[in-house]
Amino acid sequence: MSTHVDNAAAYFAAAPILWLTVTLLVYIVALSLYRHFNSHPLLLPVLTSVVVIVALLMATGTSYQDYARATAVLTFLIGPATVALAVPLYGQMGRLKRMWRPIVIALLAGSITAIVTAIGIGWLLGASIETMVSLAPKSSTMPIAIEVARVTGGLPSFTTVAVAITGIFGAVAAMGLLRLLRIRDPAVQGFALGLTSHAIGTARGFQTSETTGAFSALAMSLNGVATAILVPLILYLLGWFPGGLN
Amino acid sequence: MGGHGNGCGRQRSILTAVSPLVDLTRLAARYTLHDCAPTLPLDRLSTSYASPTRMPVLKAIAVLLLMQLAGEALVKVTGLPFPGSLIGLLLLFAALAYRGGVPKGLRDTSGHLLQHLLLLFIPPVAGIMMYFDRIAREWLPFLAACIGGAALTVMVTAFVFQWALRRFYKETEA
Repeated sequence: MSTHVDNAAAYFAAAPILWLTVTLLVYIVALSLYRHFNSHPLLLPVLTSVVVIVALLMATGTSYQDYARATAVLTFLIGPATVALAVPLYGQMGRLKRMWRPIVIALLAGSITAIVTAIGIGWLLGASIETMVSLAPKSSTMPIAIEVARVTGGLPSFTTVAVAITGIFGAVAAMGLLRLLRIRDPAVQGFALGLTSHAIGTARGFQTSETTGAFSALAMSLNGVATAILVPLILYLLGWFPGGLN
Repeated sequence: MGGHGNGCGRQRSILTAVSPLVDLTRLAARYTLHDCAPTLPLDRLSTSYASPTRMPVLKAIAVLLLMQLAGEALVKVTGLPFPGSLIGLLLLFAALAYRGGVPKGLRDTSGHLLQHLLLLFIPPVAGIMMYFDRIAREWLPFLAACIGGAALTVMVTAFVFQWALRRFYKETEA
């Protein structure tokens, strides 16, 4: 009898059917909690879900490697989902054509600022190179940030947490910061919000106004692309890429 | 039995949510419970099973996978340090711009995929559990870089965009 139980436990420890079901159920509960509390950024479903999942993994003594293998199908879908970002970006084509010059200038300035400040603050406070490389793509949208971290030798899970914290902080604080600076144009507010805080900021932008949300979505898409191109370039100039890491 | 059939009719919204199960149940009902059959005409069975002639979702998924595949191939061949899926994004964007519109199936499928993007990130974010010792060592620079970097990025972006709009975009209709 007990061997049956042991066998079953060993089977389910790494079984996709168990961990995919658990992940989906936890996500559904986390999402309804998030919606119930009016999309409060601190209740971002991915954060609450991960807290529960990590607790469950540790409680059941399941290794992360087993969990990652079991949920590989979800991770795989990040690739096609990244490609799918082309659709909302294409939806911004009109705006992009009309005002491409100010958009490109602000995009370059913002994207470089995001990368350089992340590395610079980390360096000032004594972060390891691996952590700084992981921080560099933190203002881009999560699927792109994960891939950039993987390509440049960062730790993708560190990057995702940095992306989430950056997004949450921007969503909570950006509007107040911009009001303090007397920047009231909703297009400018939205662009700064989306460039800094990607999808989380964009969700916040749409709560403010249609224009804020639209410019936020535009900046988010463009900064995803810009970050993917600029991070390897800046790391190369710093001599940390390729092959600068041990 | 007839009462059961009417019950099916009244619960349409629930039925559509679990339509595969319902279709099977209806098929079973049609062939086993003959007195229920008149309330369940065959043409009300989901067409997705009866005639798979239109397949917008499959085509959309194929397009997304193909673009990613092309992106990955390009990255591997050129050795450029970019994610293949990002090149796929750019290829799809170029294709949409060339075509001059988004097919409905692709719009719907992308929408569904992007709507629950956060679900896909749970496994990679959970990987943080392998780095608790690193967090204990480096939480301060990590947090400061996230928050300080975000504050500076918001300010620089807003100022530059505001300046560039005035300089290069005279008709400020936005």
